[in-house]
Amino acid sequence: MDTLSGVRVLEVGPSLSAHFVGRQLAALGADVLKVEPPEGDPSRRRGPFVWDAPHRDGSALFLYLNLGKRGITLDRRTPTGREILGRLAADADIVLWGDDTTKGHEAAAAVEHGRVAIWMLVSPYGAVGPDAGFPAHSLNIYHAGGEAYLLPGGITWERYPDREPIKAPGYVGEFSAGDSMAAAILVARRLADPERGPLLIDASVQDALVALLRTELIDYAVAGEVASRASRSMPLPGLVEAWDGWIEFMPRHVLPRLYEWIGHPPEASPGEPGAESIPELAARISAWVADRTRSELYREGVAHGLPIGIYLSPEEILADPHMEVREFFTEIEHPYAGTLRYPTLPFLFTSGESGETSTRGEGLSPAPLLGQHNLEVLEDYLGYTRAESSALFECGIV
Amino acid sequence: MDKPLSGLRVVDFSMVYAGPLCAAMLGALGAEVIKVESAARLDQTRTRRGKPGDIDIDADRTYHIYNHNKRSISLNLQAPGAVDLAKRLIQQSDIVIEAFRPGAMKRLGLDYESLRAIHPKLLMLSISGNGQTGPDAEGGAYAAIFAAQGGLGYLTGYPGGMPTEWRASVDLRVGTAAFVAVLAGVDRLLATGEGGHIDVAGREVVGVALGDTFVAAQSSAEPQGPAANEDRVMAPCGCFVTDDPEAWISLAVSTDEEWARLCSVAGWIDFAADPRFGDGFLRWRHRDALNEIVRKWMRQQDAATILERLRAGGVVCAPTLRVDQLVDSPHLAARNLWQPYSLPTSVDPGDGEEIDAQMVGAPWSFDGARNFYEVGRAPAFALDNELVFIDVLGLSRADYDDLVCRMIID
Repeated sequence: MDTLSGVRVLEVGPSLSAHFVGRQLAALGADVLKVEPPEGDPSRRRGPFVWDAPHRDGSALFLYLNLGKRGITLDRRTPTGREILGRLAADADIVLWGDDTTKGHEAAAAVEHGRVAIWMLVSPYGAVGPDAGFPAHSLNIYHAGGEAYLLPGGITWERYPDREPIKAPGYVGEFSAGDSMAAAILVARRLADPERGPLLIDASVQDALVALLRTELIDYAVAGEVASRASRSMPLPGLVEAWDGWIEFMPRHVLPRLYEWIGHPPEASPGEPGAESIPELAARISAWVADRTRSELYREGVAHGLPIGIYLSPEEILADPHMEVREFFTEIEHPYAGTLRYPTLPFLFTSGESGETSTRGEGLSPAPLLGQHNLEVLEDYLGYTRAESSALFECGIV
Repeated sequence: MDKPLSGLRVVDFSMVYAGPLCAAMLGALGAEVIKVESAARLDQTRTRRGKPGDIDIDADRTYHIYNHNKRSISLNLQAPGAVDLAKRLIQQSDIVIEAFRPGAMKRLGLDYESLRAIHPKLLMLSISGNGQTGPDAEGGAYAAIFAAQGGLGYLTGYPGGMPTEWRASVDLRVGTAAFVAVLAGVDRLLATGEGGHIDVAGREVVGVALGDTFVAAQSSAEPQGPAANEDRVMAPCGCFVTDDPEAWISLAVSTDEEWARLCSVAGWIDFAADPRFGDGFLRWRHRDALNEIVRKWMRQQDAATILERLRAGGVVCAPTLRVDQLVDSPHLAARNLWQPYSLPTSVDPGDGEEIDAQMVGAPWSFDGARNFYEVGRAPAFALDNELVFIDVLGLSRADYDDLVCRMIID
């Protein structure tokens, strides 16, 4: 789906949520230009690295998060750097400002009236409110979003009841928030009018994460229930240990099919069905599952019409036949990192006109090398001469 | 402020969380959303609580959260002639949302190919656990299952420990991803007049949220596993309990300056000068000792005041907020995140009691305002039958009554 073809996006600042938005917009066809400091965005220093070789073009996080973008470097603290940024911003349709929101406001106000229709400020707590401006690492904003207090939950919590609440893996918090923010951009497109100056969006990672807890919030508001790791256990366990790992098994709505597979409850006395308690059934399920492999359980469970899944590792998902058929991973070649397979968008799209289903990530360029598009942008786009762009580099402004 | 999606009509066949959430958000943005249920097949959020058979099906608070801003009609899709009625309604609409098990819409004759033939500009959104295609297409409908198949379960937990079962918040992530896809589809529809079919897979939404892990798994020898609150290099880093066992603080130090500030707040004159902790690499080397120092110290801190002290001292930290703290948060209130909504307190029939509560509104402001997104009421079951079947579809009163009589409209 290339609906944003021709739309110019300028992405500024270190916020990973802003980077995720830029990436989604690029995957929808937009022309995204990423501005990094001359030493590179901090995420370039995040491992793991390809071949486990620390290198500013080898960060798996950076490679993933910056698909489809061109990249330039700029020292935004200098007058010349700010001037260049101002010209680029004026000429963009959308600016994603993932940095200090006060400076973002100022930069938006200072832009010469131009094409820019949407200016989104992305920050951990938003630009407004008593907590606005507080710094937050990945860990902090996830905990402030309310979900950490609920993790791990279930029988994992039962195994470690005295341990601390945890964040989701990787950057799930920032990326989920990024999805919400991408929606904001698309909604804003329905309202924005460049004639009126840029529509300013205040996007907070915390707001987006809190919005994922709608059920728990209302359970508190109406019934005073405070959800926690301890309140999320199910009577019939879904997470069950198999011989070679773990499965997720949810038979509680289809008990007859379950009994067909693992056997009916033992009879209490001749001719009378046993009144198997839930814990007894849970124990019977655990015992059944413990001696079998995940793939065997999955095959048989599906054959019996039971909802069942496997706790797959990333390596297993990369090799999974279903994901292969879905073409979930797209092969993209990067000048430094080589060819790797990347998730791009979480949906397939079939065009109404042609009836064709587009290939995900088709034509998506790899993440930019550091400063890869400096000359192109400075010279072809902004009109600097070679002598000038050399001087900019040698002065450390790019 | 004008509503961004005014003028669009959505027919929503979906149930439970993901699809209904997506549709509700479209409704709050001004679209007309028609939710289709049947007396024989109600949305499960209406009937989860209370005594089976003795429930007010319009009173479950969970139903309200995910079905605000909708019209409700009843249509028994299994009854003869019902699918034709559905098609007529779809022909007058711009968007269809469904989240049935893949294959179900086809069996009804409401799959995309069939609908496209009668309504080429239609934008259809299908949501499922594994996608409409592929060997696992018919499975994986539950969030816990597709979160597991997507890698989230395996990667969540304590290092070396067992995986974690994820629940409803994954469904909301799917609803949000579907919302993005529909908005992109609307963008395209309004620009080109062309529709299409969006096939969102829950497992893939999870995969995109974990995307960097897949890149790493291909190219690095490091094992990918659960890491709790650990960071690759920051130390100290973690979540530490205060003197109140329910009050936790997350804290991480990434620079020498942040370390100096923490030492200052905590009064650690010795640690500040301790050569073991002199720079980021040294702190990483001695992270176990460092985390233990913070753990011991935090356990003695007064939960009511420690956050303020740390923040005043410039330490990068955040409380592990609970839902009550979120609802009562002055910051979120100042940001106008909430919109008022009176919710029923019980599903007992005839109870009728409501409580003033706050629902999540738009998680972003436009030029400082959030009123482009307005949370409206969730409809009583079949409330809008006459409005939709007679006014919108143009059925005569006689035909309508006949369909009700024959329980096609039930």
